[in-house]
Amino acid sequence: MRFSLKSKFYLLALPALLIVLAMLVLLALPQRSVVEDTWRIREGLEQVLQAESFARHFEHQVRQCAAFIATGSAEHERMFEDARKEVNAALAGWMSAKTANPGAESAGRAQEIKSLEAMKDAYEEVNADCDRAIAVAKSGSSAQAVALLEDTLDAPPGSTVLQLVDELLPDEETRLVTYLDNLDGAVRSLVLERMLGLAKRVAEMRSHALQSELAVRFARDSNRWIRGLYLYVLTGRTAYEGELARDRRMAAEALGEWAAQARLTSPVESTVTLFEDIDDRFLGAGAAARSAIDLAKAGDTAGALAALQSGIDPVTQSQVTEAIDAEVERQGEALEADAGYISSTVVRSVWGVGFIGFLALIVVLAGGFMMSRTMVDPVVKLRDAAREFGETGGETRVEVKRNDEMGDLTAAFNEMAAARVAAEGELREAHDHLEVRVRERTRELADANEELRAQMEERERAEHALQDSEERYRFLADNVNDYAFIMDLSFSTTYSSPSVVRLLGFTPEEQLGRGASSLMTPESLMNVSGVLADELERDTDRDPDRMRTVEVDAYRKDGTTVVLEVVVSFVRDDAGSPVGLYGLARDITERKEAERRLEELNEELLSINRELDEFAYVVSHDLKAPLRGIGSLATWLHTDYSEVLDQEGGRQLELLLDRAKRMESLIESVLEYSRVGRIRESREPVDLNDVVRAAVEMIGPPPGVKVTMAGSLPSVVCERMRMSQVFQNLIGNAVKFMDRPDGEVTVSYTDEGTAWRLAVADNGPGIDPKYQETIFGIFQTISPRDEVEGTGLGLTLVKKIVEMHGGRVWVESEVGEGATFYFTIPKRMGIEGGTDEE
Amino acid sequence: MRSDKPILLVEDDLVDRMTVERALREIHVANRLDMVSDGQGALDFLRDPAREKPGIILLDLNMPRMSGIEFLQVIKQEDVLRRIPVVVLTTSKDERDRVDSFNLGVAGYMIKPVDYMQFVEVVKAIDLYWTLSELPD
Repeated sequence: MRFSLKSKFYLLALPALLIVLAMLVLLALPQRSVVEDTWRIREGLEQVLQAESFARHFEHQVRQCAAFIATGSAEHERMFEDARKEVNAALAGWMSAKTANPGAESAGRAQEIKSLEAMKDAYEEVNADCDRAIAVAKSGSSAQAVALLEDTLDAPPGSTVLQLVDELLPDEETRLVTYLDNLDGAVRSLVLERMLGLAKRVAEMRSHALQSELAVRFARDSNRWIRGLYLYVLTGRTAYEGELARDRRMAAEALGEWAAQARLTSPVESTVTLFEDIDDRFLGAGAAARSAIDLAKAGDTAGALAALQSGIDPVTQSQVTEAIDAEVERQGEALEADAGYISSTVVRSVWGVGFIGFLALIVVLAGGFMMSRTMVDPVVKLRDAAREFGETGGETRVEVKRNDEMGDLTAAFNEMAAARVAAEGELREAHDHLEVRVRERTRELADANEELRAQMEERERAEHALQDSEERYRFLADNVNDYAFIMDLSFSTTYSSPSVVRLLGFTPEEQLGRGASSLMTPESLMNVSGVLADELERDTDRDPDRMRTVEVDAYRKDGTTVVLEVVVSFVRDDAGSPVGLYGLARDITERKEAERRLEELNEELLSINRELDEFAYVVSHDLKAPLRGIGSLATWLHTDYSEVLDQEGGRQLELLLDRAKRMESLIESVLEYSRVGRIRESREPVDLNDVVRAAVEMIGPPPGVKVTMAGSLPSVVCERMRMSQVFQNLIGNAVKFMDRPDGEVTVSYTDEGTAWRLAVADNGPGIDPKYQETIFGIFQTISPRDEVEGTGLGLTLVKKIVEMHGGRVWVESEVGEGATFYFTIPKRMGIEGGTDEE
Repeated sequence: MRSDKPILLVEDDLVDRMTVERALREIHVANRLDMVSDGQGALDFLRDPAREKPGIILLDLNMPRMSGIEFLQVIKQEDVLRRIPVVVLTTSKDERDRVDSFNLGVAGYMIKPVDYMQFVEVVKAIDLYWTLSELPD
């Protein structure tokens, strides 16, 4: 959407309008509540004043009734009638104020209206009683009239009226105070309060209300006091004395507060006069009351009445009453004025703000208009000029009239237009110059062509050289026994060296036409395809040196197969992606055959070995059974027939038993030997210290032979039981052949880097060097069989075990010098260890 | 031995039978000793209702007709016979024989020593086992 510059300027007015509206809303909301609160205060005050007025005039009426009974004065009767009218008026006013003001506090209000009606009924009765009392007094029986009046006042209905007034009045006053507080709060919350000073006006309203109320209360309390005085004088009842003092004090307090409140608000002249007047009369009335009370106490009722009449005469009383009314009315008017001022001020301020906002809006709009005239019009002019300049070029200019940035802009435009005219002139000149340059360039190009031709000749020579070298390669490829080929990725041959004839019987040309499935056996094809797929997948690095060797069973022309070992690599395009294969194939049929044969022989050998082991095992096992029989029978013969046999017979049987035992141990040895390698233990790190200790324990060397370890032996990886057999045999031999009483056998070791070399040395008879090789052979022993118990298999077993672990065993000895048997155990054992059946 | 049930010896070698017989006598075992010469003979003996069932069977492994292992395979399928404790008494130290025997639930596996006095010790050990071990009635 496009807005013109002008409309954008006018849009500036929009936020201004929004601000004004926001201000109006902010002001209008609290101000509405101020106006409402003001109206409430008026109504509240009205009710308070009507209530006070009722109370005061009621007291006044009763007082006049009492005064009439006491004096019989027509003046009192007239004032009694006036007071009755005032009471009725106040009551009606109060009631109407309460009912005419709907809405607020409806539940409490209904209760109040009910109380008010009850009070009205009670008052009607009091009224009737007063009339009756006056009538009785007129007929001359003043004592009876007083009794009547007293009855009415002390009990319902009179007491009911007073009680209800006492209940209702404080409520009205409290409500008024609440209204005033609300207004105060509302006024203080106004945005413009500081400017308008309305809170001060509210304080004044509060003072006016208070003054009105205090004035009325004073009037009421003083009337009650005076009525009490009359009744006291008439009846002489001392019970009134306490009430008199209280009523007077209350009146005096109300007066004092009133005066104090009035002084706070710079009182007008009439108010000052009024206070002086009331003060005098109140003091006068006090003096009169005191003398009247004294006279009444002395029994002079007439004198007391006279004193009362003189101190509190009806005429001045009514003047005071009027003056108070006037003051109350004045205060009410002042309050009314304050209320009117506040609401009108508030309403005016709202309108004022609205007006200011309107003015601001006008100013913003006018500003927008001015801006658009001074800023936009020249811009539009410039735009049109620029368009024209673009279409016609040349002499377009804009008139410069302004001495500001807009003026600078138009000036700049004019300069630009002039500059362009100048630039076009220069361009034409440059064009002419260019033609000269083109001619020069053409000559340069001709020179370059010449040079290029020379280079091409040079390249041709190089290509010849390359061709020569290629021919040499081809000669090689054609004449080696290997056959070279190039094929695409579907194994279709694109080049084949002539040597293919020797390998497969096909000519190179025939080779080109053969499909993949006719090249090799299906198994080979499957294998090769798998390898190719694998390599293609791995070829993310595009390594040009990537190579694989595969074996292929290829078909020869005569239908037989030949095993080819093929080294193959990728043919790549310029981007390095594989597009084909090239490689060398070699006939390895014979090698494969040899390998297969070797494997067969190996298998055969293993099988023979197994059979041999099995045979040795079974034979030994089966030899043992009859041997055991021979042993048992010889034993029984020896025990059962010892008496029959002579000494020679016994010795022969012993020899028979001994030979049977020897054969048993021989068979055990053969079994053990066949078991080594046949039954493999797991290899694990074995602590040789433990192994040697256990071996020595098992041998149980005689007291004359001491077996020691030179230091702590290492741990080696081996078959634990076999290693244990090695030590048992070596140490066992040393102990067995020991020929000295101080025999010593020492086990030690040397770290040879990749292997441990262990040594078992003794100080025995030693071994003649000529036997040192043969002792490791099977069934070789150099001792006479009957002298030393031995099977001739111990060292053979040691040799087999050590060699199975990949080590070797040998002996170093001189006759008479003792012998030392050495063996090595590699530190790192392969999975298979050494060879076993050697 | 602890009960008065007879002992059944399954053994083909005459001298071995004599050896066992003599050894039992030597350690004063008074139970009757029945002897058969192979597995099939033992089966016939055990299945014959006229014969008293043995309290323990001493079994050689290496026998003609029916070997000890085959004999074990048969009796361990049969409800009554499978509960009779069998102690193998053989010359075979072969691991496979040991594994097969214990898989078939033998109570012991003893190697026949060549020396007669050691043989007596072995028979003593069997007697001790049969005396101490709790067995089903």
